[in-house]
Amino acid sequence: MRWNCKAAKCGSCSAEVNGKPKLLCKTRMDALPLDQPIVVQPMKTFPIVKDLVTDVKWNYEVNKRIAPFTPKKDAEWKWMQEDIDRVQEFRKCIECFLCQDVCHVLRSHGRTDAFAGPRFLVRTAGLGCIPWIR
Amino acid sequence: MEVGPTGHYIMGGVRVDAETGAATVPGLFAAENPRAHARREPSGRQFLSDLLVHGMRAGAGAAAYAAKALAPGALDPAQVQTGEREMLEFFERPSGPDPYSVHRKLQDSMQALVGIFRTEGDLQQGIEAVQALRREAKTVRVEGSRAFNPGWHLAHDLRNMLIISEVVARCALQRKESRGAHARDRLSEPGPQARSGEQLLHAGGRGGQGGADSPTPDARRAPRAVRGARGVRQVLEETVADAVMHVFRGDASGGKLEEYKVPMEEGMVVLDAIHHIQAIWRRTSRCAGTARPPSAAPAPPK
Repeated sequence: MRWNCKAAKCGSCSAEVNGKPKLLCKTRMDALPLDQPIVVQPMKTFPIVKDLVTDVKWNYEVNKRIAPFTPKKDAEWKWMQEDIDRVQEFRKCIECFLCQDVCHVLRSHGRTDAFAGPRFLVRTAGLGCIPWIR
Repeated sequence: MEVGPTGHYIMGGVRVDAETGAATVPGLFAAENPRAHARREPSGRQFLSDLLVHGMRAGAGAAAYAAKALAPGALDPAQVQTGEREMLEFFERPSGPDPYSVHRKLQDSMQALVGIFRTEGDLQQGIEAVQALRREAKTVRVEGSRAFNPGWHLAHDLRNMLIISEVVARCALQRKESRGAHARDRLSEPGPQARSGEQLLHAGGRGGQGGADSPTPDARRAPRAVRGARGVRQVLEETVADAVMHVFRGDASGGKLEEYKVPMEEGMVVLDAIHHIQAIWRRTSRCAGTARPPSAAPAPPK
């Protein structure tokens, strides 16, 4: 099982607990019904490596196909506070890929050939918020 | 981000001779640090020059000792055999606690009883708890191969961890004032011990009780035995209930859900439960922790 920060920041410990997408480091045992077995499974959408570890590198390959922010030459480097605030939420993604795991297009229909998944909608939305590449 | 206090510096060590760095144990050398007293706050800047100068002296002392003292075949074969036997005993016991649970109990005891603010009652209980764990550590059992077996390494390391823990607790009990990072009874002012900052403990030999020296006369007595209504271990082992976990185990060729029972503790997350289960995996798997297949593991000597 992958884990690292124990603080919901690194995105390593994604798994499915009682059929729901969860970070193992932040899923309290006492928040789960204890009168029945707690079922812990790996993310279903990605190829399994071993036990609770899956191979998520497809996501990094998709990311390479999205053009990163490249400022225009001689662009003015001034932001208004409201522009900065707008982009913050999109940049909070920790790339745990639980959203990709549950997206039915990827999970149930296997269309990794045709659809980037919600993580990358968030990424492109964040890029779209930067004023001078709009 | 979760933020918590952490230990980053021992604030103690071995007593050495100033010129050579030789300790009282023959053949042990350490770089002297004249500033490593409880009365000072630890400071990274100060110690770099000490490391270089005294490190070189200790190295030179060790080299001179080695050139004179070590001759081929000078190792005592009986000591080597004893060491080997003690290492292999962990595999040979038919039953016994696993090292991870003893380690966990040590962590809990030190955290609760020898923490940041120290009181006399807690420290005495802490010393008792550590002594009980020292007895338990002698009965620890591990499984698996000798190749990359972290449980086996821990079984061996436990002895040193327990000695250090007892030393820390005894020194804390003896020093009744607050000084530097050691805080007794809600920050009392530094007392008459102020003039000599050092405390010295010596071992009584293998299995011996040893003793504590201090320049101040009132600190020579051993801690009183405390008989409380509830032992420390009992308190630490109280659990609410067991949770039943079904965890997937397998790989691309297939797998299934395996059942595990995990004792519940306050604030526990699923990650903690998986770690507990991993400790069980290490105990029960034939090839604990190694990436090599079982047939490649070396057989233990007969």
